[in-house]
Amino acid sequence: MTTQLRRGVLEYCVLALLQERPRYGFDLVRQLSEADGLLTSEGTIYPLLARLRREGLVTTHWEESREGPARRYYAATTDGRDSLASFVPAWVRFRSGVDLMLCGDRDQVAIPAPTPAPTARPAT
Amino acid sequence: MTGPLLDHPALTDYLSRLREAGSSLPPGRADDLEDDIRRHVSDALPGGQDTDGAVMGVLDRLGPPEDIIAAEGIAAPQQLTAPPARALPARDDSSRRWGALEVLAVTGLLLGPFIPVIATVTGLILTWCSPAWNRRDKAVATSLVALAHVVPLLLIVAATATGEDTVRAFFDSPLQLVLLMGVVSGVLGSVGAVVYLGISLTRRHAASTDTGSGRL
Repeated sequence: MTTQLRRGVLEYCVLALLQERPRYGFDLVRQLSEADGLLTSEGTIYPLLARLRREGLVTTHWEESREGPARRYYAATTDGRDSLASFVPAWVRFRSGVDLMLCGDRDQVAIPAPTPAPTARPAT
Repeated sequence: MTGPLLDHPALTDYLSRLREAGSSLPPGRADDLEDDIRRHVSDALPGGQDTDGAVMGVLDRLGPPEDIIAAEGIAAPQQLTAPPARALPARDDSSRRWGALEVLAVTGLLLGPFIPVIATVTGLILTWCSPAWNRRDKAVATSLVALAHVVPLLLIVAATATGEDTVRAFFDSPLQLVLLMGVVSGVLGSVGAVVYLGISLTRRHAASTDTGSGRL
């Protein structure tokens, strides 16, 4: 069950990281690994990145590295940012709804109303 | 990309398993994936820590190569497999109701007793050509029409077998009997087939309409 859930949200976590700045594969893995249970097999990030690239949600470019071979950097495209902007309010409502069901205190927890999609932050 | 670290037997074995598991990937994709993994290992072990433990730890965190290939399939199944063949339209189009083909078919069947052979055969051909009825409907209709032609023949044979006098008691000639029974039986068979086809078409159309309204 958690596999399905993780699979559904992982690409948006990647887009969120790439929205901050371009990153290479291992850098993404390192960031994602800070969230417990989000990335169980690090190697599966590469098929995901390849799909995001095919769908036009990320672009890639090569940069030389002082520590080793050149790295392929990934950056969120405008479509990628738009996709993330659409996902965020939907996720907030979804998460609140699940909390409401699982945590029990239905009198206290209120599901937030839909909010306009946040403006995507420009890449640095 | 080569180097002492990237020639480590554990990594070589890992990449070999990756390539084997990804043999069905599109051309070039397996190379890209292998390149990604090599660079990942290189980044994960800065300074070339090629101790067995360090390399094995990185490979362990990468996960089994088979899982990575499986993720390729999950990430883009449309890229890995041929697109499913578009389903041919079903011969029994349940959304279809009365069209020109269906009207001509039942008209042919109804005229069968009065325009022998030609109208009946035409009606049956059109019935079988129509996508509005399924194979069972067509078979039942054909059977009814066929029975309508066979039954009078059987009756005549039976009457003749009981004696010429039996026939002559009611009819001036056996030919008159044949014609009368043929028309009556043909009408009954044709009307029965048409009624059956009409009911079947109406029911199936109603069923398909109900199903369609329940779709989201």
